[in-house]
Amino acid sequence: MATGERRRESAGAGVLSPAARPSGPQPSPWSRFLTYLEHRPDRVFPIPAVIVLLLTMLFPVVYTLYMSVQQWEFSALDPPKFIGWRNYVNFLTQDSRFWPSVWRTFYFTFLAVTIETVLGVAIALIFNREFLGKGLIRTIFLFPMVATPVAIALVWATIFDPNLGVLNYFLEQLNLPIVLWTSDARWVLPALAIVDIWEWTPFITLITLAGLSSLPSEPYEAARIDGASPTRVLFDLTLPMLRPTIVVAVLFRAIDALKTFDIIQVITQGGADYSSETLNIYTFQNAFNYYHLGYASSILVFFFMLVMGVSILLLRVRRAAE
Amino acid sequence: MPVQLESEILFYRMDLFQEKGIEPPATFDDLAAAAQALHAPDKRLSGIGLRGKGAAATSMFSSFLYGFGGDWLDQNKNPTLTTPEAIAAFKYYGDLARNSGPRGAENNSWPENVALFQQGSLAMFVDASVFKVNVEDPSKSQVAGKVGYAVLPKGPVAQDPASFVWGISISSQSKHKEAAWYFIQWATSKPQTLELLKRGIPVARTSTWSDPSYTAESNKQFDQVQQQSIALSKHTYNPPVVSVAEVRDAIGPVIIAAIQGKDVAAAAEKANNDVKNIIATSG
Repeated sequence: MATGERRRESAGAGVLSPAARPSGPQPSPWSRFLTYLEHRPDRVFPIPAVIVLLLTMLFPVVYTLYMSVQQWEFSALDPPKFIGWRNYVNFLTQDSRFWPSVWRTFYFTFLAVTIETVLGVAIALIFNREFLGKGLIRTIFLFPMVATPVAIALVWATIFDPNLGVLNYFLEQLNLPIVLWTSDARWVLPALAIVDIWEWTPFITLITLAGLSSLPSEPYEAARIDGASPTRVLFDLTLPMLRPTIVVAVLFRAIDALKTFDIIQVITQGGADYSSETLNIYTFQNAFNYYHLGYASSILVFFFMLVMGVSILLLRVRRAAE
Repeated sequence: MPVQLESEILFYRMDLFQEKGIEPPATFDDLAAAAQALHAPDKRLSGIGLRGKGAAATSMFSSFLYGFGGDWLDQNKNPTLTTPEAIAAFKYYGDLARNSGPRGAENNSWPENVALFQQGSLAMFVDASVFKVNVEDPSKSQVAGKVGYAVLPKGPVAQDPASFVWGISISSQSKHKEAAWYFIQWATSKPQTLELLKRGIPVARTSTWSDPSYTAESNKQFDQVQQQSIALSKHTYNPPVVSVAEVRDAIGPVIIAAIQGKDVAAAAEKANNDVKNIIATSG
């Protein structure tokens, strides 16, 4: 390999810059590097990006894998101890908080992403028409996505407050029974999903709008000539053609929703009584409240595979759609 | 070295108590009766604010547990959450919060209760004495100047309000133990603690509380309640275990079950087993 490179280098130097050919004194390493760079930029230029990627992406994953097979407490006095698969066996078979949190993670994601997709696509179809003030409304509609999640969560926490919150005030005005949004085990995940929907529906809309603007116009002309009704155009033309775009939007949203941390941590911290403890919140508790770093890492490895699995599944759907 | 010493006390609205002709409660029964009498949800006023948020509630629940004669563990470090005393304490605490507390009490900890009290939505609340400074701050509290303080009432068995000690320690890993010790001496010195106490921090240094420059302006009722509570207190608030956070998280659901009126005995049984497992694995 090394000799091969050198040969190519010198051959290249012979073609491109005869001055760099060693004649008498040896060229400095720096000028040799410059020659190589001139020659194979495709190998040299990506190096910084590759280093950053290795450090920020690969290293944490590998290190988490390493931690996940240790009994590792957050303490300077207790060195990590290798215990093999025991962490994995523990959470899979003995931990009474693990499986419920997995189920909650999926429930929350399904609820949020389904409604976001339906709403987001519907709103994109509306925004795709011409109406007065369209640009302004479109801009305003994107605000939730741009705002800071923690700030959003704090505002929603006040809205949900059972005693002072505005949501229950409206329900009372309408003579509806009040809901203990964040205390009632049946309501807390839907309530958190409402926040997620409010925040991320614009994301689906944005991607769908991009998809809509790239649709060809010929099929629509054909449909008009054939006298197709607007409903038929929507369901037999627009939506099927949009399907790959929507699948991408759902894929992004689903991965993000599975990992939701900020709004849950701020509004309920997994409460009341663990009824909103998703996998991410539970892992955080284990790592930074109970200080079981090794155990938390093993759950994270499971979580990583879970998110990967969902992504692969959705990508398959996308390929089928194309 | 202890720097701050709080006790669990009862904060109450003097004006509301006078209006109804109620005396500050002396027993748990009095407390429940007073809370019920003052509870008026139609006027957006709740009788009493108790912590209900799982793990965060265990600290304030501890005084009630001790009052009923219960405890977290027995001498052999076995959890005792299923004893009749503990069950009675869980039920009393949950009933009180459900019948005379604000809606959604199971999600309330001190930030929520202090805020509700500041806005005049609670007639009483139970929490650590450190929050005096929050409820007496006229820029944040609508009830400043109307707040009375009482020692946590006597339970059927004991009057044992939990105390909360905050301390500074020097790590055995420290590379500058001398400097750390020097800092601790400064932080716990009389002039320093006097300055803190005047700003509302219940400091641990006893002599500071009787300093004339503090007592000249202090709230005598509060000072008395603080001293009495500490004299009565035989326990600190946490279960004496290594994995405190985990054990508190395991006990929290029993309090929530009690507030929601669910099966307390079953929840206590489960928590008892969870705590046993946690102690077995990590001490």
